Amino acid sequence: MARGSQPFSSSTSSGTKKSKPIKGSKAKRRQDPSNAYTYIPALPKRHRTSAAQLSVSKDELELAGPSRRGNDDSDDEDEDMQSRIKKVAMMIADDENTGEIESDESDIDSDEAWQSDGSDEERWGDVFRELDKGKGKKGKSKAKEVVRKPAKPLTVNLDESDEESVSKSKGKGKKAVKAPSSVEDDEEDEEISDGDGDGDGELDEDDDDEEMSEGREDNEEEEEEDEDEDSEAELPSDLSEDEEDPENLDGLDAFVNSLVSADKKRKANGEEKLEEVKKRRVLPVVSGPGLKDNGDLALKNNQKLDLSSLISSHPSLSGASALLPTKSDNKKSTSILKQGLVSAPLPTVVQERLDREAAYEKTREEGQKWAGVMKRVKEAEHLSFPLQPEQRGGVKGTNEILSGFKPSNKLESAVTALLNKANLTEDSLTKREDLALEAQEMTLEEIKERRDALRYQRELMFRAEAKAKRVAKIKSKTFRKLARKRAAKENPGMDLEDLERLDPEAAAEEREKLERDRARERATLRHGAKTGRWARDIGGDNAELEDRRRAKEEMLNMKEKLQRKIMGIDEGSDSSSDEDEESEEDEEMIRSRAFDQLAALDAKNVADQEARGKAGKGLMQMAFMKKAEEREMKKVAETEAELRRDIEMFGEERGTEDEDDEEEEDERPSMLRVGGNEGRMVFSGPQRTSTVQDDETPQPAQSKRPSVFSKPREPTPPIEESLPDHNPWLSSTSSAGPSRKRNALVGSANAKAEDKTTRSLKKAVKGKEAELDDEKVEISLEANTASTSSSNKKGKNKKATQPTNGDVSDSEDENEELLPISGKGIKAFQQRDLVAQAFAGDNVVEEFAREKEKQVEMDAPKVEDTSLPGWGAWGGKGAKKKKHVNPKFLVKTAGIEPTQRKDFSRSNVIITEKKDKKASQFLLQDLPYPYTSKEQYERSFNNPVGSEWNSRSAFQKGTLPRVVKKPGAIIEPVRRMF
Amino acid sequence: MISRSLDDHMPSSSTSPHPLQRNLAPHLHPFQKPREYARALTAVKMDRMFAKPFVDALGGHQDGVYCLGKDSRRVGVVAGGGGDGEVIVHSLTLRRPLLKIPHAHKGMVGGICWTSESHDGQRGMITAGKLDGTIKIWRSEAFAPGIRDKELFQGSEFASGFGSAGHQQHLDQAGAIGENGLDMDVDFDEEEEGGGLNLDFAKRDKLGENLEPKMVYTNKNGLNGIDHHRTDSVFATASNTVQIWDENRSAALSNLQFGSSLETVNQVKFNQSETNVLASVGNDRTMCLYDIRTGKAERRIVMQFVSNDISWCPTLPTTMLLASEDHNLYTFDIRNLNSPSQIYKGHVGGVMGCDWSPTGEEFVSGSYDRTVRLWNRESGKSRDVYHTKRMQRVFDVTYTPTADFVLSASDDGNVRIWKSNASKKLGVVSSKERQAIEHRQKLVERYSAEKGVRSIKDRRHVPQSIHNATKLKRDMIESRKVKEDRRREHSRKGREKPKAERKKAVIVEQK
Repeated sequence: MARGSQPFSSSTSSGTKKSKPIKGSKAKRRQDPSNAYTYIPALPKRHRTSAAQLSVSKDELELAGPSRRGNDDSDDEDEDMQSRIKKVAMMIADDENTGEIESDESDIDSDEAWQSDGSDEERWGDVFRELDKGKGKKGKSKAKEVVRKPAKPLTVNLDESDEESVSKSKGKGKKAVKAPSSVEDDEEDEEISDGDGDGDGELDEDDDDEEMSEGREDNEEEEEEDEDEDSEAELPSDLSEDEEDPENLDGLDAFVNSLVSADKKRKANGEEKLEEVKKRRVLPVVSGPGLKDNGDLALKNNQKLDLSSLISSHPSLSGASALLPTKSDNKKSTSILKQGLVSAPLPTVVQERLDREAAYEKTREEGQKWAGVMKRVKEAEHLSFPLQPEQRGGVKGTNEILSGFKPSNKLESAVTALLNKANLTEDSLTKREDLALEAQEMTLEEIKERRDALRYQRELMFRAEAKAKRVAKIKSKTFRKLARKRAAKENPGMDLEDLERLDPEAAAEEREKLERDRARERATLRHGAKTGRWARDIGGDNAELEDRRRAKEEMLNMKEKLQRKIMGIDEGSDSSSDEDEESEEDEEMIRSRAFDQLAALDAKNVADQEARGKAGKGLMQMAFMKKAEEREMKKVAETEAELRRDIEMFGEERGTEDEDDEEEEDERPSMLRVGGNEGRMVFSGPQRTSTVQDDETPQPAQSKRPSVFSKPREPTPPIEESLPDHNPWLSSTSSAGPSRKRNALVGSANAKAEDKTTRSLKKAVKGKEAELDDEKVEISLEANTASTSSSNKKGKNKKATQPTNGDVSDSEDENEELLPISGKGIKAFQQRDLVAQAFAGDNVVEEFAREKEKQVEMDAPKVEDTSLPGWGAWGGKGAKKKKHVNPKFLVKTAGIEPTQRKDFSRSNVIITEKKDKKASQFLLQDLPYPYTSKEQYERSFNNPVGSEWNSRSAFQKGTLPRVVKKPGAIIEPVRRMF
Repeated sequence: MISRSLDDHMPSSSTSPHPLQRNLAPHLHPFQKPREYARALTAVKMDRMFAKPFVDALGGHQDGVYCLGKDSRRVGVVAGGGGDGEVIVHSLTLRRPLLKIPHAHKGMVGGICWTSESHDGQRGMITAGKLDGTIKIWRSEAFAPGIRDKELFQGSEFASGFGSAGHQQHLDQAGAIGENGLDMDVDFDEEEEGGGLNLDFAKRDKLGENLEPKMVYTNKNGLNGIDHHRTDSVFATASNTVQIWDENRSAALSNLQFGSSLETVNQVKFNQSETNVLASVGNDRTMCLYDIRTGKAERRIVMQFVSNDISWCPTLPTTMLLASEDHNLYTFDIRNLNSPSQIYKGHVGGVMGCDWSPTGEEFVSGSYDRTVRLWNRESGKSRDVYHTKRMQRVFDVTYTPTADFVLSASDDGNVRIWKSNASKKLGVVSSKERQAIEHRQKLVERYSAEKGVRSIKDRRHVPQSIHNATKLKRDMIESRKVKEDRRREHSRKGREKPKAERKKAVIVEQK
């Protein structure tokens, strides 16, 4: 700082001296308000003025800098600088765009002026210090103010130009621009904070001079205050203010001097400029210590000054520097001058178009925000209006209503007035409560506790209320009755006597009520009826109860049984009660019949013997033969007795078995499900070994039995397995009744008892054989197959019949029965013959094929030759017959090619290719709109809408129209919800 | 053993229906499709049998009615502007005029709209003169009887928490309260001062004659249309530019025009959801979009023919509908203005007016061919056509705010009320009946592609003149098409490509 400053101290002082008279005059001029007025009328338009001012002020500044260092060693540099600045000034004067000027100016400021200034101040540092000593006088401070003023217009002008050219919103940018350039950061800030009030007042010179001057005076008055304020509340540079104030003052003096010198130079430039300068001097009003502070800093730093450096200088604000715009930004925004001339504004037409496009884009964006909503509306299956919830919906609480209450009629206002008078308004009440609380002098904890307790209570009350509401809604009579009883129990209340004592009137009423109740009870006989609750509670006579209990049990049993059956757990034995009964009946009958048959046999035997005895001689009459016969007879008798026993026993066993069934799971050997149906099953009875097991039976009647039963009794696989499928439809034709009993009968080797089954079996076998053997003959044998399969379902029967198809089948023919092996072939032939006889001349298949051929032929496209032979041809001898018929005599009939037919590859069907007129009216030509494929459209009919096919809810849902609205309610357009 | 539980037969609660005792197994209900088809056929026949759309004609105008002003905040009030400058406020429920203002304007009334709020119980109506170029704001209790009552009893409550919303609350209710026959008797007895629902015609006429507008604005040019902002006290008029006015200021807030063009603007409408956007149609075959926030025209399209009316869809805020002079209606999406999103064909005269249903699914149009047509948004053919022997050229149509009725204003000096659904039963419908109706509708909808059903559903008898005009038009279009095809056939391949109908509508989109 001290470097080389001494040599120029004298010059500085001289500079100050020189400037003194001028300064004096200036001050005089400034003090005289009339002076200010004199200049103002001469001012051109505000617009222009500002521009000129700007240029001037800049000039001034630029000139001020160099002038101050006019005696510097680097004179060349100075000259160079000056010339450059002049050029710029000329340019600016030419240019009309004030905004740009402004930025030019600041640019220059930042780039050159203050740099030089800085060095300047650096040089004058000593002088400042010297001058420092003379600080403290009022006059000095006045001078300082005066000095400071010239720098002011800079900011003021900036403001103005900003207002004119740029919108206020750009204030920030402006600030940023100015920050590095101007020395008066603080002042600037102040100005900005002052707003337009001051600045405008000053600048509206054209409009109102007096006002301006007043404003100025005001500001002068305020200056000191401002200073004070600043020192308290301004930037950190203020902190250094106290120490360096004297120095500042000196520096400023020097600065002013230099400015004055610059003024001098400028005066030569012309009247106008002079005026401007004067005016400019007049203008600055807003005061602040900023200038000196910053100047001071700048002096010290010997660097370009900017806000960030200012802020960072103070530790407490160092963080804030990050918030400031960077230097490069500033450069960019201020360097328009460097870019050269600004292009001319666009023609209005083009400009407008651009504006329109921008505006439209904005609207489009806004519209785009609705896209989601609109998509949902368009794609909604159902629209229920109102679409959006009510804006002012909801039920208000009492508090809300009370708080917003305003008297609207006379009565209400009168009441409110009264309340107000009595100090009973909500506010006053709360205030009083607060006061009361305060008076109690509760501690914070106590208050908190109390509040918690209150809250808890409120919560409880709320819950109780909610519960009461819920309970009140219950309509059940029984609930009410119970509730009443409970209440009575809990709260027995007062005795009638007590009541009498307390309130005789009420007691009388109560008594009357009771009487009435009793009378009513009597009248309705509610108390005496057996059906009454009391009666039920006490219970009737025991027998009745017992009965009821039994009935209940029975019902339960039945239910269980049925359930088991449905689940498929139960056995053949308890397939169904009806069937059981039936089978029992059957059993009785069959058993008796079996005994009858046995008796008949006995009788026959006896008769035979008698006959033989009568016959006398022969082989049979011989002793050994007789003996043998006797042995035989005994054996037979034995077996007979056994049989009898067995038959009798079987009945009993069956009874016991029924009960055992459930336990003996293995006793259900061949339970089969029919067609995968759980409910329908076929059972074979338990495999009981027959008592008749010996092969050698002498009786001719029984001789065939051994052949039947001699085969080893291994459990044969049920036939069902070999059958392709069970036809559920055949269940009805099955010969009814459980099979076990019949098995027993078969086992009993009694022909007559067996007849029934065998007959049906015979039929079945017949059918089956026919089916197997006569495959070529296509005859429906459904009835037979049905019976086959049904009878086959009986496991035991199967076993019995399978090996002896032939002989069992012909029980009527004894001979054939005796020839089991040969019987089969004969039977087959017989059956086939029979069938052939029955359907003689019935060539169904061939006929069908023929018919189909005919149909195909009929439908095929045809070409008919309608030409008449001989016509159009040569006749006579040697005439050739025409080979080709004239095509105009060929009549073509459209048809369908045999290969194109739908039934082409199916020999068993004929599908007509004719157009079905009745059906065609339901066919569509085109696919209806929303559908994209035929399948999709057809699928839309899959779910019927009618209530026959749908549950109630599905029906309602299915028929709900797309748009549902409340009748008579206004539908509002959609509101913006985003 | 038969055991039945009562639970299976009784409804679970008092409000729930009785449980269904029916076997729903499909094999027990065979021939599903044939049966339903037969039912659909019956349903569609019934629908046509009960189609009686005409409700009433509201007379009283001395000249033709050329504009309608629907009060979108009330159910039963509409104003009609006549050719002689008379404005009549009709009550739809009473089917008689509430108020007649005989000399509201000199010459034709250009447009009518209602203010968004009421002041001291008086609903405001704004009318614009087509010839005298004045805009008048009228306020009278007679416009909305019942508002004052509402305020007295409930106003304070609603006004308390919600500020201006309170106003709207009683506006919404006023229509229902004041004009549904229930309150009528009370009003008859009380005979409140200044109109109301009294049936004293002389008094009413006197009131109308003496009614002075609360505010009068003058404009150099005649006004062809007017529309009010949905919420603010701002309205727009259509003259040679679009002007924005404030109810509380005497001069226009701004003039909106596209560039420097000075065309006659036919109609201007505010968007109901994007409330600051508005659109106008002009005599230069243009449609122009504006925003009052930027105060600028934003985009303009020039079409083949001039459009007479415009309407914004209430549920799809970017969709607008133009009623064109070329017998068609067009919907546009403002995000994409270079082609319409749908063309609606059916009229055989220039379409003079159009209005969206509040549901946004349908709209109505009135035409110079003396018919009113109803359309579904999705389909290009009209859903229904209304006409009567006495109805002349229709100049304006509008949906009521409940979407139940359609109003048409025609040359013959009548405002006609039509049902928006021709066969809909008016009055209370039991839930059972409603279900049956819905079932029938569903059946018809499902089978409507089938010929038998469709032919019945779509058949409409129109007057001979319209029938002939339709035929003639069809022939003309057909022959034009044939000619074009031939021309294409005889020109170099690929040189003349057929142009989509939608691309033809817009000539240019101006930025």
